[in-house]
Amino acid sequence: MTAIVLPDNPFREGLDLRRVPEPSTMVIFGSTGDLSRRKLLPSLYVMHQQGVLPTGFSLVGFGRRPWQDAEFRAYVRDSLTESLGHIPEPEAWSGFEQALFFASGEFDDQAAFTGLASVLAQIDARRARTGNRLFYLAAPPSAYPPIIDGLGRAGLGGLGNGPGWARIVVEKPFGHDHSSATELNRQLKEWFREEQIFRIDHYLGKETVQNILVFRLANGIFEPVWDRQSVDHVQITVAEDLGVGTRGPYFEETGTMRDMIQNHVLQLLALVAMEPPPSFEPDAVRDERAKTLRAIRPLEGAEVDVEVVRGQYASGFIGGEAVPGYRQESGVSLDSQVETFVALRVFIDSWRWAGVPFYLRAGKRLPRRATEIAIQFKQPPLLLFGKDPSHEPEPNVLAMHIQPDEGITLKVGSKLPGQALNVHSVHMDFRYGTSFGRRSPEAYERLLLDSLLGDSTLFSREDSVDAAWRFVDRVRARWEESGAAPLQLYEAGSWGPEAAMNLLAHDGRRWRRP
Amino acid sequence: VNADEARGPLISAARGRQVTLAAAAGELSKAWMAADDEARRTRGEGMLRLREMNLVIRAASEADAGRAQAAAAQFVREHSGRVIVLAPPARVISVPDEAPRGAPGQEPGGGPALISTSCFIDQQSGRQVCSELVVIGATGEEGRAARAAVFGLLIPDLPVIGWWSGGFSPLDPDLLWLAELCDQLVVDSERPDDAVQDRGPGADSGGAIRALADLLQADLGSQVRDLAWLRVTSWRALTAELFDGADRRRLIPDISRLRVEHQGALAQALLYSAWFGSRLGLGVAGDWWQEGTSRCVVLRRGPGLGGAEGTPGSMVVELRPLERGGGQALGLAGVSAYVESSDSETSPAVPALSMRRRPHSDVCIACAAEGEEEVTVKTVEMPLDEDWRLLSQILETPRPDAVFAESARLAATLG
Repeated sequence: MTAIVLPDNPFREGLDLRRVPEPSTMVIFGSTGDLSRRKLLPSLYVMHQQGVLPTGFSLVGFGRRPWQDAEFRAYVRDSLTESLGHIPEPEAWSGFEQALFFASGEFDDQAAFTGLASVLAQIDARRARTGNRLFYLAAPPSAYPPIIDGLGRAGLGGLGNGPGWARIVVEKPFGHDHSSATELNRQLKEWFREEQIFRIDHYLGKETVQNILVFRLANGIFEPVWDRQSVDHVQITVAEDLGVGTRGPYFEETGTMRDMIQNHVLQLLALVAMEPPPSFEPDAVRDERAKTLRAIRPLEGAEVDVEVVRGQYASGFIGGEAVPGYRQESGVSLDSQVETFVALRVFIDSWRWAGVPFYLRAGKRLPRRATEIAIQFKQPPLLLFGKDPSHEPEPNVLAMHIQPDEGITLKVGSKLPGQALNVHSVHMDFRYGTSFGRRSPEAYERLLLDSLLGDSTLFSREDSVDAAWRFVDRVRARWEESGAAPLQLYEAGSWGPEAAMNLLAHDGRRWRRP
Repeated sequence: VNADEARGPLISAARGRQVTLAAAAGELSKAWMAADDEARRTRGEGMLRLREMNLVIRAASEADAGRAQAAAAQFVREHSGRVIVLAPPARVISVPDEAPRGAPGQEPGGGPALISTSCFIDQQSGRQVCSELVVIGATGEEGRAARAAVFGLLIPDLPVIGWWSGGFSPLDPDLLWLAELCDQLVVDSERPDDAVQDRGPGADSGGAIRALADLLQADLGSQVRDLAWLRVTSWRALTAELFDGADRRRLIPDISRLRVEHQGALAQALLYSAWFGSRLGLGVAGDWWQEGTSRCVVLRRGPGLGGAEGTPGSMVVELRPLERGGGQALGLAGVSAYVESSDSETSPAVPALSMRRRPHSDVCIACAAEGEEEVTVKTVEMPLDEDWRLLSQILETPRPDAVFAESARLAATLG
């Protein structure tokens, strides 16, 4: 071989159609769990079919079962058959199958991690040959500490001197309060640097959530009115029509505040309210998200009783069918005080948003599944056309629909045809369904690719998690005090307790009907 | 637009209505208003349409028009908009029997046009797709009036893709007209009937590539895109990916031969070879010679050709035609890059890297040398690129492509 100075890859020039990660090996802890079976394995298979996975990519399942590679491969094939609804295509499957390996061991057995290191070295020598590794924690949260420690002690953490990179993806929930999240961060930091830690919130991988920033910052007409001068208030709704189902025991330990508000809802709030970043580099975006979360005015003590409504669904009807109340669900205490609905009013103490209320609500057993962000604009300074109060034009509303009908609606006033000057509100709709005839990638496909690429833009940083937990913990602390406003029951199939309506009514406003 | 196989429930359609050219735009508006009324009556809400682009197709023959229209029908499933086809007049006269006929000649304003509108739920994506098709008879003297009418039919302020379907010459006034009209001019340096069995390199097969190179040099006011070049994009991407690893990039200075196997698709083979060579700073072609069924040529570094440091001084390009079996030709079927063996007398040449399309499947496997053994490093789906997918690529990546221009120039000297 001639001694050379290696050039950059000369074949890459002009080819920017796809983002291709470097050759690497991924290890899933909890590879036979629900998340893995329903989301991770199907996403990886689709990525393989689309050629998005890098050359020499390998997937190692790590778990307690005393399996060999062949048994893991059979398991993956069965899982894919279940999720795809058909047997994987033979040609594509044969390529995917070759990339699958299994390492057996207990999460708290250090010898198993030493063995894993040896397996990874062997696979790497045959396939990726880069030493790049992505560890994915899809196991129960109680298993995180021993896994993190096991990886670190086996020299697989990011602070070692091995070749290539090491990254670790941590599934939600990231702690159950500020203190446990801080402890988990401390454990991670013992073996990994912050830039190697990918805290996943799959909401941020949704195409329409990413579109919030594009919509705001790629269209010159919106950003100038995106502030306290023009916006009257903002509503964020994350509504589910389902109850807790089989997740009763889990929900008894969490509740809506921790399960939805701490992560999904506050992340949506951050995307809507953040300042434009100076660039779209991961940390530039994450800096702004974190700043916004830190700027949320804390709610404490008796203030919580006024600004926050917590509810729990009682029996009722959804879609014409009778459904049980939360306390009748399997695994739920008969006198449970856990909230299945939260509505709150928050303010962001920033130059841009001072005085603008943000109304947030999330709940189960609401009339329909809908996630949306609605920005209601102020009325024009002079109402020329609606002197009769009954004809007063409605304010403009920009609604961003996240799911299920992704799109954007702008409510504007328009003259009704006729001799009189009657103003009527009409909706200008942009729906993804009428524009792009192409399949949107699943949130996990996007986030798995990003973690392989090392792009942390859509992942939560320690300071964001910290700020969100601080806010939530204060509210929960008040709920645990005697004398706090009690939990309110609401009928399944309604939009939550009456008090949630009053939260806005006191301000002369009302919730949108999503 | 007829895409019956792909589409699901039809929401609204007005098919093959014959009108005069001057009335076409107005009739399209009426068709949508009727569809909107119908939607309000039956579904309780108005018709929503989103339009992204104009696609103007100029087809010289019935066959070209048919092929292009079929591709356009698929294309609008992903990108809604207005398709205007300038076709031989016979295509406009042959109105389907069931289509309502207007009264051409009774209204003022030139020759006939066929208009169709359609909104349907796409079966694959479950999404609503709306499109419009206007077919205009436009060849010879009558074509002048028709071409003028196209300006009035374009949806304002949306990109215009001009697709020249069929053989082309950079001097053709119709082509220059289309180039001036559109933002992106699409040609195909690979004619569907191109087959290496009939025409090898050095014969006339490079004519279209040379025309393409001339077109790229001309100042047309629109960006020239070539479907044959776009068909090799997946191969280029896979090649680049294989050389992403530092251990394989080390092989680059020792690459001595590039073998490109192709079934038909000589233009693709030439463009890919030229791209590969130009990426390595190679550019001067010698004469072709025959090796068995293959044709070979040497590419060398030439004066003024930079080339990245540590790239080979020369490389043999071998184009190996494969027999066409039944069914669709594979296009590019395989690519192998060989490195200089330290002991070429005793060691058989093992390709450092190879990519092969598996017959009768959409799968391509990429292999790399491991000692004297070849191992599979990636299996990837690589369906034969259909024209509608290439049109999507064109609309989505409107950037000037300097690598394309460079590759086409070198391919022209090869062909």
